[in-house]
Amino acid sequence: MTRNVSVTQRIQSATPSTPPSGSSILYPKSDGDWYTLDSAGNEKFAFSPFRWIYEDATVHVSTLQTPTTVVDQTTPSLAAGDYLLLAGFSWSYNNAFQDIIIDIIVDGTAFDQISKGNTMRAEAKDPDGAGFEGTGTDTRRPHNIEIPLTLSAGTHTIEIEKSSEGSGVEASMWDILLYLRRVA
Amino acid sequence: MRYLDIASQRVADSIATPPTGYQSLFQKSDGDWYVKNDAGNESFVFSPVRANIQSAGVTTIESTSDVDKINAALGTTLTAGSYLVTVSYLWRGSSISSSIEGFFTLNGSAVGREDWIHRQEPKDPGVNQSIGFKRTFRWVIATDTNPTVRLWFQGRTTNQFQVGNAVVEFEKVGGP
Repeated sequence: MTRNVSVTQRIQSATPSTPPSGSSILYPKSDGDWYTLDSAGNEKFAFSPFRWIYEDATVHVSTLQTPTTVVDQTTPSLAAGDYLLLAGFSWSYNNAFQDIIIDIIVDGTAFDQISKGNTMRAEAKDPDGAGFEGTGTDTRRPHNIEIPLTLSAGTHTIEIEKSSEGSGVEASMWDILLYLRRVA
Repeated sequence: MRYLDIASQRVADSIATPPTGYQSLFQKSDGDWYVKNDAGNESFVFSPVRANIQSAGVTTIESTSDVDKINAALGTTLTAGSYLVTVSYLWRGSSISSSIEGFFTLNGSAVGREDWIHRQEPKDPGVNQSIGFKRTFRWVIATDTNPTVRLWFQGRTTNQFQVGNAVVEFEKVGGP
């Protein structure tokens, strides 16, 4: 039997005709992503070649109460849909009684899941240690969140800003990973 | 339109560029699936490769020396490419003024800027505390490997620390 080396499908500019009962079809659309359509006429996003990954191992240290930009990126052009942005980083703050404040900002709006004004605001608890890379502390704390986004077609800006609650206190973040993928 | 019961395909590391207005989905010999568009560009789309290594139970640390939680081969060969590696565990500490310190390597090397990935004092040393740690890193490998995964801990002092269930998970997100 001769077998094909690929499933080659015509790019659809709109939802194709519904397949017969008991069948479903898989096809690319003009937005670059692949979709399925079942015999009930339900079209769903299947998968996308699109992935956007940003990494930065740099230790970013600032002591300012005004926000300092740590990340300022523009995504490639993407299809309209629902996305998840994984944001992971390590952080420290060189004071036990004040907060580090971090905002993850997409298209100018900070993700603020609990409506308190910031993406993350946390007291460090432990500023001890000799410090590394100017952080003033050996503390290494994790932060890993997934941010749901409904994005329009085109490019989008992703920024991270960081500030200190107290003037002159080292607020630090490093090993930043941003991973954006379409999920629906 | 032709309807097939199931599409059967031959693995191919490269295929011809599809005609204008078409895209091709195909599987390479490493098991991963790619799309090739009518401009000839290939893009990784998904991989069947997912693997994890776990250490269940409670590991107690009462030392400023290294105590291994995981130190073993993953047990799955990862094909060359780009991975997300997520380290997660639960921990507690018995003193509010002493830190747990966590370290992580793959094949003996750090995946972030250093192998020291965690240092933190508990806020509350109550016996029922259980604090989550989770960090995702990106790891790129040029050749296939069954990596040695090492996750280990020290106490900043000899106070008691405990680490519960630990998992290191690998998800392939890009080709070589």
